[in-house]
Amino acid sequence: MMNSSFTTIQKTNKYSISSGHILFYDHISSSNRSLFIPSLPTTTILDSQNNRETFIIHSLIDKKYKLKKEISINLEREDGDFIGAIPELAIYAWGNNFYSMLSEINYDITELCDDLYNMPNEALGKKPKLWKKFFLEHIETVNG
Amino acid sequence: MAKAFTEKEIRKSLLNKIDFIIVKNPGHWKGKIFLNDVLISKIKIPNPHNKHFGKGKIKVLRKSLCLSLSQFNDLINCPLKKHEYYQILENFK
Repeated sequence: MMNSSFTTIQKTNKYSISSGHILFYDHISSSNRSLFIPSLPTTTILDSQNNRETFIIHSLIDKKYKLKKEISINLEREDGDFIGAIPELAIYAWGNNFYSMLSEINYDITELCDDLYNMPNEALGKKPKLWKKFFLEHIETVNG
Repeated sequence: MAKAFTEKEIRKSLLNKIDFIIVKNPGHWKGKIFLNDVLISKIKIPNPHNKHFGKGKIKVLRKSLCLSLSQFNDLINCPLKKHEYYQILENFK
């Protein structure tokens, strides 16, 4: 699996902000063939004072959905692993490879979206109702 | 304070105490938690590794389980029984 990224970096006193495109190979694909998914734009906000990083994703790998608003991913590092989380959706992933962690989260977003859109509201608890609301605000279906 | 658990210990306790609807993905299994046919939450089930499960991972996992840190420790260590966990979930229905 190969991954690469290119970024532009803007630094301020407190934050370092970088924008660019992360190039993914689909490590989740069940086939043996890696699937090249070009150009997933992200913005990184590095808060070095608080040792936190936030990644903002601007698009989804699965093109049946489109982002209306950006989604932030919190990043922590622990024991050599990258831990990414979207607290509003209870989505998280970890791994020793940053890019695979990020692409797993991206897949989890569309998977959860699929699940929630296919379930009636009365079958959703308090948290899943909030997740669905978040999706309705942030994601639209392409072609209807 | 977060206690030291391995991924394997956490996985074993979770699979024993929670009736997940499991989706077996190539990476982590995913477990959906239902209470009376209502979806309450979903988690990624840790793999059966002997690797230390750090506090950052515990934080994201326990939040998805709708548990405080002490409740999470009790769930994995055993004092928190299955029926007691499902009583906690009633608050999230």
